[in-house]
Amino acid sequence: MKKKINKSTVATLILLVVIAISPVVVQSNYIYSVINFMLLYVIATSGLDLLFGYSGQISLGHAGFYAIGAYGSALMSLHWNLHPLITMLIAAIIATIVGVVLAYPASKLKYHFLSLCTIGFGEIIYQLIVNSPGDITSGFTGLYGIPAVTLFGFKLSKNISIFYMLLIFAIVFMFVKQRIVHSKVGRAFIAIRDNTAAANGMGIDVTRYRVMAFGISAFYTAFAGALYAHFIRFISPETFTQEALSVPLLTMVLFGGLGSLWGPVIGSVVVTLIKELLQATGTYQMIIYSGFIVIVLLFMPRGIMSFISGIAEKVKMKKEAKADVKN
Amino acid sequence: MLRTENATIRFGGLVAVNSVNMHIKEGQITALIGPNGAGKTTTFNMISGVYRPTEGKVFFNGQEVNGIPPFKMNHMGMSRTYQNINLFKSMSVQDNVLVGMHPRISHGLTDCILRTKKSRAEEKACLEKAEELMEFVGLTHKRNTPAGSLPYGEQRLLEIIRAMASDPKLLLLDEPAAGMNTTEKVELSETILRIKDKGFTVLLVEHDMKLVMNISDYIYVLNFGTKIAEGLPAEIQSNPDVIAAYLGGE
Repeated sequence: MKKKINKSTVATLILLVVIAISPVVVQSNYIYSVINFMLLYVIATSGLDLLFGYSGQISLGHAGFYAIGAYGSALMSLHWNLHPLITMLIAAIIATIVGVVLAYPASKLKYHFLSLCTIGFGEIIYQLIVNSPGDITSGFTGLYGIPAVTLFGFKLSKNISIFYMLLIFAIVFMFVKQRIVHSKVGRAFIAIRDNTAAANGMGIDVTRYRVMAFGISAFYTAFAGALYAHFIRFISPETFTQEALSVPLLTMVLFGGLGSLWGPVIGSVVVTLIKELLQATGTYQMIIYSGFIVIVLLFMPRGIMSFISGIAEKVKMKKEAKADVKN
Repeated sequence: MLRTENATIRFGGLVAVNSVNMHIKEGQITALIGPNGAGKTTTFNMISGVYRPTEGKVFFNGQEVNGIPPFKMNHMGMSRTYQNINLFKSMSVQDNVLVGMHPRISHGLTDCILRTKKSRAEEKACLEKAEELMEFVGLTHKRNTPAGSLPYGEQRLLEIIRAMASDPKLLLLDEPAAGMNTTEKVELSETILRIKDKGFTVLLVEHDMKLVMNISDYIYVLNFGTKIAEGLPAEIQSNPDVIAAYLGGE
């Protein structure tokens, strides 16, 4: 057991070092823009996974939280001249409160009812951005000139420097996720997902923990949205629709594998990569992409993560069987 | 410890439990028996807070508990097992037991994220206790097995220790012997007696007469939602109403 932990820790460390020094080798601005998007999605989907993968509540409206993070942070830093890191935090906290308020009624719903409710939420936020009171969000024109993050006098405006910031945030968010999962709270989430009646019988306040999952998930996704705003520095409504964001986020989680640390990471990387590679096919992009998703869901219904671990287990069992025969 | 006063449950026109008076005494094994459809499980669900009595009252430790939801009943010191096994199937044996301890863990989300001293100490204590409980029923070697892949008999045992994990004052066992073979049943009666020795008060719903007669201190008999008899095992065995209910006599 102890040996296994050491092995995976070493593997993670090596991976991190490789990622961290890779800019020395690769210097393409474009590649870093793609990787930055991947990292944003890692944060957003890690949050979605806590909600969907662990507590068993689906959301088709996470674009709404992403939008609250992006617009909230952008507006605060534009109008109040606050440091982006502070506005990002405030925006994410606002999204958490919105998530909690949404979750109180929504946590009573299941399956398709919850899907519809969260779709409605995403749509409400989208409409609010398009037709905001006093037009503070500038409707379809969008918001320009969002300040870049400055740290210790350095302005993080190049893709490579933003890459380092996003990498650190992604690691922190994954670390926190892991801590939540392996705690009383994480156990309560999984218990509710596995058997709600029994969780209630074992003294878990189901509503409270469902609401908590929504809040945490909203924080993650909104923070990713806020980071996005200060990375791209221009935001407009079309980024935050259900088709453009909510569904892809859900696809990434399903694709990578629900309820795991690396599932959302793999999902974010692979789906972003596929979308980029398919840019070249122009009009056929969506058809190929959709077909691909269908195939994956048919052959790996529980995501890449469990597909890989399934293969690893089979190989291990074969090895053991062979060893048994020899003995 | 637990008292029901004219407790009645109606589902529409159907009277599932009709004006039942029960009294469960501390430190005893009390059994609730009756033929199929007698309202045993409904009574059970009423006591544990799943159903609210339509009429009458339920008192737990002298406090009226009508309409208090199950999770709060658990916090008050009542924990239960389920007739149709309700384990957290994807979780390991150990994690199932740890979930059972949930109401006794006082640290919150922030402690979990920062892994404070308090949370580490509590988690450590929980793991030790889980170890004890798994040993109690001989599941230690299966700590990492997903609950869903345990054999049936072991799933029943896991249900029992998961319920014991919160140190309840009253432990409700809903047909713990269902689906067990004779050997397993003998082991189960011993386990239940050992649970009593640990100081737990037990309310047992069970079909298996032999098991009930052997281990119960006091028995209530239900038929068609009405209490038809109560008494010591020997009295119940010779009660003509009970025999009639079970054998279908006039």
